Amino acid sequence: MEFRSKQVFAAVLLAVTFSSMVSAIGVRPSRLVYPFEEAREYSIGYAIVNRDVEQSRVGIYFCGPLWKNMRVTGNDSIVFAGESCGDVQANLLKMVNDGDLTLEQAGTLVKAQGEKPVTLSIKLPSRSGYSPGIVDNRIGFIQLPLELPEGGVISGGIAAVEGQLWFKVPYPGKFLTLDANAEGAPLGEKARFKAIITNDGSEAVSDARVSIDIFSPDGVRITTIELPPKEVKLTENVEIPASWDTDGQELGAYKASFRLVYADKITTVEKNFQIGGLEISIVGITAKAVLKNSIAKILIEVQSKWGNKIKDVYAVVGIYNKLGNKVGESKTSLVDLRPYSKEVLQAFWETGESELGDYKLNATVFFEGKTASAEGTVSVVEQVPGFEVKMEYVLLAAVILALALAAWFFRNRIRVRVS
Amino acid sequence: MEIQSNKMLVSALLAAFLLVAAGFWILQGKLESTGLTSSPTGTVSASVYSTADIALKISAVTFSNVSIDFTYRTDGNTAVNHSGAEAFLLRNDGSVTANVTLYAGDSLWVTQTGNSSYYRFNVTNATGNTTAKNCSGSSPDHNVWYNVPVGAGNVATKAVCIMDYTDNNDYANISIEITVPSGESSGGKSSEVVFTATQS
Repeated sequence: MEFRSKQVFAAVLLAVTFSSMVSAIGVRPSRLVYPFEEAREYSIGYAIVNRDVEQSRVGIYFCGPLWKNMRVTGNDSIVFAGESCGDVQANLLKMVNDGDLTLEQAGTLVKAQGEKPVTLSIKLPSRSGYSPGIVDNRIGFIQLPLELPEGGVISGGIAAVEGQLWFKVPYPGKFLTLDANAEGAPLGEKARFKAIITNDGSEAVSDARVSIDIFSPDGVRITTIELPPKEVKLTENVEIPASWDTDGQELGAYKASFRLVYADKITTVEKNFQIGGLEISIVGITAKAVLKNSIAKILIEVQSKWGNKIKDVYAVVGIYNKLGNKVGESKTSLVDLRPYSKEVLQAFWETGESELGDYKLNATVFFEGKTASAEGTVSVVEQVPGFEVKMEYVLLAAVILALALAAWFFRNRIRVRVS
Repeated sequence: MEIQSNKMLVSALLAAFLLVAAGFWILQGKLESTGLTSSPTGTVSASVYSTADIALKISAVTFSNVSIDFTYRTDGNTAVNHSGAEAFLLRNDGSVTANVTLYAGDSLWVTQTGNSSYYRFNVTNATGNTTAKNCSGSSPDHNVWYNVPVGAGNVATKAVCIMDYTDNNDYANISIEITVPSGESSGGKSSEVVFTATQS
């Protein structure tokens, strides 16, 4: 009985073609950050972005702790709102799916590869009751409706996007936050850094000091860069650039540890950066000549030019005849390359009934989403070349041996006579 | 001698003046004839805002011909059944890195509602180093199967973390695994999964 039910289930859920639906949605600006100033009013223009080649119906909602102080204008559909973004979004979808709203009511139309503006207005309430830090409010856009093909077991995806509207409640006293950028550079050029200090406190800071410790790929501190002290006023952002000459260093992944010191407080941020590019070179491709119906062993010697271990390196070798037609392909096993080390990857090709002659090898090494390529050759021969014994040499050796034996024999005989 | 010198000086000055005037006249004519005219300068200023933008290039994962008690995946793993379904393919079309959360608005199965191992997902890079393999918060590791959060009351799971937006590094696969529960009725089944992106 159970077997029968399985069969029935399988029979009903027959093949369904894949849908080529695309769900896409965007918002600009994606994030705005303002200080939480009581009674301050903002009117912000947002763009709903539709990169799809077809027009799109888009549901609009806003949410967050300040949702009661917000409103959206400039649209022709219902705008959903509430404190929890997830609940508001889910409620919107449910009302559409349940048929409580028409699509025209639930979403505004955005033309193909176009944008539609909406305006969000907010008047900030009293700060009391809000903890220091970020008050996260959002305006959201979700593509409607979800159209799924009939039958089958289908999981359908809908794209939604939320623009963040953040208000910062200041921390009492002196409070700075630190962010940083670290841009790598080719070997010999300057790596560039930037420390970004933000005053999220209720007092200005007159003497903020940042230093940057730079660590090599093996974790050894190489140098420390001291940046000039800065004053950071209320709600202000201060950016301090720095650079470091990479001449004489090794290729690899480095770490920059930024340390901010102010008013007896310390904050640190770590960023990784690279000197040079992650690179593997192919030293050579070698393959001995092989017979028909045998296996050619192809050796691909690779060398890491990178200061960290490179995992899961492998190669694919294509074998091509004189006409340029591919007659075989082989993939090597995975290896991990230690920093700056050499390894030999092995690929094998069954020659089968391949014609005699030279074949071109085209090897591509894959690592960390990158590739390196090189070419080589392999020959299919009638006889594997080895040590060639020529008849002349055999005869010559035989004559020399015979003469030596004769000389030894006569010498011994003469000695016997004398005695 | 002095008068002569003065005359010569005046003549030379006049000649020089005429030469300059003639040269200026000729040059001006040539400049005008080639269309090179002076222009007032000005400053154009513009603020470029960042955009959060995602696209589900494959937005329907369709398992066909499935049987009760069997498990199917979209990731092509030969250890389980494949059933021909493709994984969700997500692309970051924005100008900033993005965090993407997901949840299913409704259950896929009648007999297994809510979060369960009968409906799972996993995230992997589809190109280059698309996303951070894990990050703080409710972020799953790459290539590990997790239950799909089901229902509006569920907190969306941060599925894709610090998703890159640069070309060739902006695709992620969200594979789906289903196990058909015992006692599930025959017929079509569907579930809507909402992917929500924000700037990371």
